[in-house]
Amino acid sequence: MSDWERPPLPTEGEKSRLIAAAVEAALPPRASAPARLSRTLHALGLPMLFFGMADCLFLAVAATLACLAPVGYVAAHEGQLAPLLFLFSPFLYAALTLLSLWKERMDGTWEWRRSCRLPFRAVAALRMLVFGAASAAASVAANLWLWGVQGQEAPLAGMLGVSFSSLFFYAALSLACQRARRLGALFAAPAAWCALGAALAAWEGADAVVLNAPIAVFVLVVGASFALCLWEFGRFAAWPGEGGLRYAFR
Amino acid sequence: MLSVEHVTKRFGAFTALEDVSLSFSPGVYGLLAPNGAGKTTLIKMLATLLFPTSGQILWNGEDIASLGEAYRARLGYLPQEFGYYPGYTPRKFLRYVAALQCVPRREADARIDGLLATVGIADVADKKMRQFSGGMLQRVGIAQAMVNDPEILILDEPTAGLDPRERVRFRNLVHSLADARIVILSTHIVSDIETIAGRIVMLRDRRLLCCDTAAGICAQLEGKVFEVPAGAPLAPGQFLLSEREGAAGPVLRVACDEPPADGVPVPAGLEDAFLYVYRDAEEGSRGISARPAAGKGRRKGGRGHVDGGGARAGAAGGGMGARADAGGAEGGRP
Repeated sequence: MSDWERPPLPTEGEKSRLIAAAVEAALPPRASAPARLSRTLHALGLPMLFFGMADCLFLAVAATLACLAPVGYVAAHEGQLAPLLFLFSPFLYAALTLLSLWKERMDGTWEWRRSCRLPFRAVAALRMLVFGAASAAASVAANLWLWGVQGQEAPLAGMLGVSFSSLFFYAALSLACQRARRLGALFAAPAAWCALGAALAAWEGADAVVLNAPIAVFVLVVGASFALCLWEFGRFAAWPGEGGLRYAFR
Repeated sequence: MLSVEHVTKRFGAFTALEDVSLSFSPGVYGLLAPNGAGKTTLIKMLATLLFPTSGQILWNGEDIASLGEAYRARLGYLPQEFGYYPGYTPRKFLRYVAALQCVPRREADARIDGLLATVGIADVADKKMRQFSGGMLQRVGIAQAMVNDPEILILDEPTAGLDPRERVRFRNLVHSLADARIVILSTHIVSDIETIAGRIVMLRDRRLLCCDTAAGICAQLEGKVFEVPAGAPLAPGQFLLSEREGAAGPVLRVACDEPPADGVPVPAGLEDAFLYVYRDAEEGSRGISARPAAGKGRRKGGRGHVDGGGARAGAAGGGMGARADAGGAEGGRP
């Protein structure tokens, strides 16, 4: 066959573009993560979001309150406030997420729940949002109380900056750890946090440096940690692999 | 129609299922195989809890992974280990499931009342589930799988741990739910399947062995099952299926190509076919040199059910000739 008889064939790039366009047209449109979360919340309602979790919520709050007293004592007498805030700020969030994940694992409901119409991950993501908001609110209250207990000596802005950045960094770390499909991944974030907190506690000048940093530094760090947390959360909520063994913890 | 097309599932170096192809249309399908054969793996892939390593599962021609919610909206699933909330009543629990299945509240309440009556727990609908027996909890499990009126109902070992009366009740319930619906029932209890399944899917060595009616499967052994008195040694080529208490004493059911001298031919049952198909290959080739002595290891009463995981082998008789249909075995109403 001579050259002018041979039909013009598409290049590899053109072929890939055409295939992608055909696939895009054929597949059903995927809802965005915010749309999915909104629909899930509308379908389920806030009380149903925590169905069967009352004991976990109670235990997490009770454990947090129980830890608050010794933290207040140490803050009033010892003076190393920054490591305490770093360690303790994510406690409520960690307790809520770990207990709820453990409960789902133990009560055996995760299998049939993952086969339900509402995406399992969307329900988990909504819970994390609520846990995060509750933990942030609790951080404000706890910081105000600790600030009063230790005689208002430390700057409140610094305390809140350490608390919020610790909370957001921990949330991002725990989401990142859950990408590994292992039971140990649940405990990797708390273990890493305790190690970091211990290292910070060993640093004698922690309070002087950390709590007295300029406000702009706190704003920057809190902003960066919040952005990182949002990014990890977005990955979690928008993960296309529903069902299966991704993030849905096994 | 739900179709499984050349599905393989591997977990690292371990292959759980190899090149399985099946089609399901409305009716009851029994997934019958011993423990570890791949039933639950297949069930979980149909329920979107696992994804195939290769191949695809299609619902009306579309991949269920890409359908996502649209497929799960048509699915009802009862897992082998049904988790529940002991501190809640069935009514509250089913309302939660209805919310997860996006069933409108007004419609959900009416449907829940109907389901509670269908499964026979309407009188305890407002009692906490921690007070329930195993059979009652399984009925709650069936009800949760039916909340969204699914087109596909998947039940994984639903009668494990139930007493005989509960198992009969469960079978009758499945019969009543099977109209215009695909019901896939996974079990290793033969008696549960032979009464309700229109088609039986058998797996062996992680591959599809056959998808046929119970009569079709039993026909493979027709003329090869005999009852002989217990005590005398088994001849080569005779495979011991089971033993029971006959009118004149204990008798053994054996499978063999040639009729034994003192053997009485009996119709082959599905349990016989199951034991014969899943006999251990090594023991099948070596054979059993002696029958169990009368009075030892005797099973009480009738044949009862068979735990495929404990099936023992005897001498290999002629091959059963069960079909290994890997090219798209069809299911459907008998």
